[in-house]
Amino acid sequence: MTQEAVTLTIDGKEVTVPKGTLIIRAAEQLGIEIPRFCDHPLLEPAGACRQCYVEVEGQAKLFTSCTATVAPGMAVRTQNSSEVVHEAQVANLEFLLLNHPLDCPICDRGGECPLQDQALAFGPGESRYVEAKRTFEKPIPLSPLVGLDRERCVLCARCTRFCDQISGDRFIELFARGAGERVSIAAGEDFLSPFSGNTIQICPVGALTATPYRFVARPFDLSSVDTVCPHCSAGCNVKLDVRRGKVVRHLARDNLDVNDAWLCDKGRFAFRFPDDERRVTIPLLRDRGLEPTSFGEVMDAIGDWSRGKRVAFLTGGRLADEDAYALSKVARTAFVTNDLDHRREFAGGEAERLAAVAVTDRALSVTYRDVERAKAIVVAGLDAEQEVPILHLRLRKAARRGARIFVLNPRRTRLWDVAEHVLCRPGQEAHVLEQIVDGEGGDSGVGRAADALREAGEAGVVLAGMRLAEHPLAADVALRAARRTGARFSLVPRRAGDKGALAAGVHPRLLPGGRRVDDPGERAEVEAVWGELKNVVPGRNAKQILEAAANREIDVLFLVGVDPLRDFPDARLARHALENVPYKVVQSLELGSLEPFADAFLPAAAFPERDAHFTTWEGRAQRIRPVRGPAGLSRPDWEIFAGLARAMGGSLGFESLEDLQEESVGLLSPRAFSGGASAWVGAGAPQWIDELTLFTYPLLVDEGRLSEGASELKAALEEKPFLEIHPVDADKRSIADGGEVRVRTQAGQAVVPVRVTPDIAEGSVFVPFNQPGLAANTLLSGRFTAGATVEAVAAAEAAADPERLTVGGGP
Amino acid sequence: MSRGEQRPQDFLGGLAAAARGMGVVIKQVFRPDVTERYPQQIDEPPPRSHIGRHLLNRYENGLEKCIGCELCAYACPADAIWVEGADNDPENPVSPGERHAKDYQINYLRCIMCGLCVEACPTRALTMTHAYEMAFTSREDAIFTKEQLLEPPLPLGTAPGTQEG
Amino acid sequence: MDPRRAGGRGVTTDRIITRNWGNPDVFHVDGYVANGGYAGLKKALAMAPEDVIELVKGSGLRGRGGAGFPTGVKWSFVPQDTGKPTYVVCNFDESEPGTFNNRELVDREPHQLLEGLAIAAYAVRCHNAYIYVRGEFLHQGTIVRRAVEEAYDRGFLGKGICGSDFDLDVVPHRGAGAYICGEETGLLNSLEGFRGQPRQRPPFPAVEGLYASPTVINNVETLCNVPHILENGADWFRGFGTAKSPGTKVFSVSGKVERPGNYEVPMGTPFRVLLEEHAGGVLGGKALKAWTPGGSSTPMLTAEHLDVGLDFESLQAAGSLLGTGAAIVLDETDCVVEAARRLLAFYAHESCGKCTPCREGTWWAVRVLSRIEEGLGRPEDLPIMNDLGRNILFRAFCPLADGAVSPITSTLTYFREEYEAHVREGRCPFTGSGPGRRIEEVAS
Repeated sequence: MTQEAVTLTIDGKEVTVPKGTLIIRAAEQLGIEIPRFCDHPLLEPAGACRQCYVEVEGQAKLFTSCTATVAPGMAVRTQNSSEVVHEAQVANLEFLLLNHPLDCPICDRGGECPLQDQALAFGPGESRYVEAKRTFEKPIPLSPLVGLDRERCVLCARCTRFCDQISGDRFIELFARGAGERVSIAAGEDFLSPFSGNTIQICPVGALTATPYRFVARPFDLSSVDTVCPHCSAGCNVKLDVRRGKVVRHLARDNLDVNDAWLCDKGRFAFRFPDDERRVTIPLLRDRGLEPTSFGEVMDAIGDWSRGKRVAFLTGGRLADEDAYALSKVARTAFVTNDLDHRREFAGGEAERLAAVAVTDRALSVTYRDVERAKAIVVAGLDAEQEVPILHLRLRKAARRGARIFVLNPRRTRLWDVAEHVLCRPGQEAHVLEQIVDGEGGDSGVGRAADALREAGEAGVVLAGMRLAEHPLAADVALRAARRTGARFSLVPRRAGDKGALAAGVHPRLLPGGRRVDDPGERAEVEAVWGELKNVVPGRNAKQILEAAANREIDVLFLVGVDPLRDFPDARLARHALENVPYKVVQSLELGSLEPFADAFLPAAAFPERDAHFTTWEGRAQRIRPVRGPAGLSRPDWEIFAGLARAMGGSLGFESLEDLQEESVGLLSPRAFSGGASAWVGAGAPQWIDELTLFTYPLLVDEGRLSEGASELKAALEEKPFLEIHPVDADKRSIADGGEVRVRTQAGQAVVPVRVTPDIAEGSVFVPFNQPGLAANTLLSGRFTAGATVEAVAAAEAAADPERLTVGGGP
Repeated sequence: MSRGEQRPQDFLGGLAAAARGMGVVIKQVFRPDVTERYPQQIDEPPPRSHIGRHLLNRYENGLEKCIGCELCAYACPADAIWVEGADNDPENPVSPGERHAKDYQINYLRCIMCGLCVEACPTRALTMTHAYEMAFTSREDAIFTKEQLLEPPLPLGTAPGTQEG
Repeated sequence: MDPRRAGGRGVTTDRIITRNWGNPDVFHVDGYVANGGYAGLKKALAMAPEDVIELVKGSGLRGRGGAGFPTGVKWSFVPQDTGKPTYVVCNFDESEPGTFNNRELVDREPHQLLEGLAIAAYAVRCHNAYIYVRGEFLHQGTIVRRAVEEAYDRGFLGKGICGSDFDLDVVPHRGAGAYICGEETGLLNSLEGFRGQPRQRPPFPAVEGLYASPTVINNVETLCNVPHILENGADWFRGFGTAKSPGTKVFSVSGKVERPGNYEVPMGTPFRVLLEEHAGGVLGGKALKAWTPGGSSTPMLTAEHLDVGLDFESLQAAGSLLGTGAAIVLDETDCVVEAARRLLAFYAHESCGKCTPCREGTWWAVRVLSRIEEGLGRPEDLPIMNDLGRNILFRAFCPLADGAVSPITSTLTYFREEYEAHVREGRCPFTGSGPGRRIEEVAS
């Protein structure tokens, strides 16, 4: 598609741009900066601030360059070559400053404020305005995260346009008119968007400020580094600001290939975990208690425990790519085991094969740009807003550009206004997806999805969340649906390190590059670099490792950045496992609930202290950079693994990060997938008896360990535990919305407040994975459990019930 | 002309010059002494001199003038000033307005007494005093805290380190 | 009966849309039809829509809302191949200070408006039309609603109008009371349920208006002329007024005159005729000081402009605009600074707040003018007023701000001496308010 080009001159310089380009963008291409406040390249033009005047030859009026598009032969003059334009801009700045409080010394924006910069550059030195300024009550907390100072506001409407056009949750809006116009929010409401922080960053003055950053620092205090957000697989580009070694702020960086210019509130405000007081930065070894010691002593002890013993590794999807590679190698060479897994889900069945496909078959991969340009998108088993928030914004962007979106999920997601939802019971996804494979069009949600995908052809996208991977077939059927309709396909993991760990082979069946450990040809490619592998039998996955540990079949269990009690969807199994393994080695930032179990602790460097890479869900490796040195004695994970290899009497073969990267690049580079077709037999319609399926997934803001210390974020967005149930199911059980219910499974029971909502599939109940006071993994033995019972609890009984919001034992 | 062949008038001229030089010396011998016998005798600096330690001022109602804006720290060429801002409790404010200085430190091992911080202060909270006695026995003592800076300096001659004379 | 209603006492009978104002029967549909009403609509329905547009084009009818854009041309801009519905919206948000002609047109003969609206809808193949009634017009809202009901009952609206196969639904909509909603894109936003703020143009409403569909927006008076053009033809219509501004215009005359009211005169009639023959001259025989030809948004003129013809071209040549045809008359005892202050207070109150020059500029102007009027003006205030005029005019998002500048620039042009007197004397020479000393002396 070639776009019509338009040639014009700006300040006498010729430039050719596509038709429809705004003058202000064309000027940017020439390096001419026109002052502006309301203009933002990712928002629709507003023309509100009137700062970006330009003169167009032959036109009597000045144009605002942020709203006027280019025309062939247009001769534009900016403030650089037109005195009229310059004077108009100065005059407009005078207008903007009339009612501005000029309180820069106490304003958080002072020092990095576009209004301040422009006032300094060409604003009038003295005010001609002698009357009293307009005043408002201030500061007003819009939420525990965002503070509003209306006096500083220049009413550019960037924040309200962001909420309207980008995040789609219009919490804030302009109220009143004239000089009394102001940003406001409905009385009694909080600005509860998980993207609220973006409005702060795009505010061109100090009207919206971040509470966690309030009065904390000045721009000149900060040392910064460009890095990547560690929270999820979205891979948002962020700038980390540090004052005297302490992280005080995350800001989004612009990257149109990844996060545009946005960042979710978790990525923006959950930055205190590296400085958390519970962090441990010295090695510990259990003697009577856990005693501080040296790395050497711990390594020697681990070497003694492990030689010739059965060793297993669990990681939580938080390892950087280099660390994952080092772990994959040390486990297989030094510890001679294939019992390693990076997943927190209990995956199984065809998902194992799919994992290999996901790593190797680049032809199938999807990028943010593909999503943005897609004509039809099917999102299955993924609540993008809660799990990969920036992907959620891209899906919304695609919808604005005309894509048809279908969501296949047991719960309605916040794409409700732009997508058609097909609510299906957990476990039923495969059956529903099969209808797309079979090409059944027609007048149902699935039918329309099938038709839309077929129409879109290569412009179709199927995104499968990790919840599909828990079903033996679902993810594979999703892939099949994509192949059948010509759509692109991607398995979207949740955590920042998931994709990199999969590629590096932190997986019981896969070596680096998705090579199968039991395929001699593929294994040989790895052995050419690593030397001969002695263990060629596929190992245990995460669930099997825990089961083996519980059965005393494992001697040493490495827990690298993972807490089985909190992270795996079966707390009882995790506890049995920890109780029955002789030696537990914890490698992490802190001990947390593992303190009673750990026999050795290896302090790892946190992400602001690291030079490494994270791979996004797309498969894009992005570099993270250190903004400070490792705290205390902590070391980067890969160095610890290298030390372990030495303790085991071997060597990883690299002493520096560069060597590691050089070695791994050959093994991780793309290659063709050589696996055969799966033994797919068709899922068939599931049979249901009258029982409920309990399912869970983590919400964006929960008790996760990387959110530690983010008190404002939690105050704003962390929900109390709740249980969602469909009205039909609630009626059968005489459950009323807002009351409390007891949910009982084979694993345990809990009393939780109930929400009766049609936004959940019939026959399903949902509890969030890890909200304060209720860890859902105590109710589950997997991410979903059939055969749950839910019963109403009388208010009086609930008040008297000591188990309220707590979890009992088995039934 | 070679050396040793001095003519008589050169010799006389030399004598006259030597006498003039000695005249200056003798004149200086009888001039009054300007050396101050510090610390036995301490002359007060002129009343409006701003040559020494900083002072954080208060308004007449007792509120601190400092709003914790850090502009002094920004202006400081020696990076001697550390400021940490914080919210004012509206019920019990430390300074007028929303922000006050939770912490304020000046490191006098770094400070070069240039006064740029005073120039930068938007509320006239920071001024300099005449207290030029800046001798310390430890590095910690050289870092003045906010509490110290809010107090007027001790009279000259009473600061620790000036006693043993 | 008021003689001017019957066309007596020196009033010409060159009237088109107010010719039935003496007849109270035309208020209801029966009286209207008996008086020959809805004949124009029937005639239109017998023609092809394109021919209706051509006819209106040929009549030279220009919009009466202020801009004076040729109505037929506006209709012809509506694309017919977008696959989207077309809308016609009647702009009855008559909020311009001094203007009340639309109100009386509806008060006396609402079906004339409905007939014009139906013809316009037929011409652009629209099946859903809206009448946007000013929020404060409670009574007129009721009148319009009842007239619409009557028209439905008699088959002039609804399915198969007058036995043809043309369907039209008309929805009266009352605004929430904002001057800015008289601006057509602000009106559209308000009609859609959004904040009354103007939209970016292009795209123009003819292409992307209501609900992003092609939309025609016409003023009440414009639409009232349409049935008569259909009935009597374009040449008949061109027999009124001037060559470039054909037809008549209903002028609202208010202020210091003997007989304030609405007077329909042919375009091009000199203001002297309107003032002296129709409105009875300046109240109490005092001298004329200033007058606006088209409401408060149009620059004021003075006694020297008495013989300017009231049409688009002549007024523009005189440095003002026809606007909505609202003459506000000030006599020699009125203070123009106070007049300007009051008008600016109106604009500051009605500014929607979207763009900076309008929002902040009108706010500032009110404060400076108030000070001058209260005798607290400073010599440097006059350059500020000058700058304000220059920095707001043509710099704002919509024409509201341009209108707000008119009182400033025109009073500064013609009555600068009066401003200077306020500052010099430290008080208002007319009301006497103020300390009576120069501000410097007051301060010292």
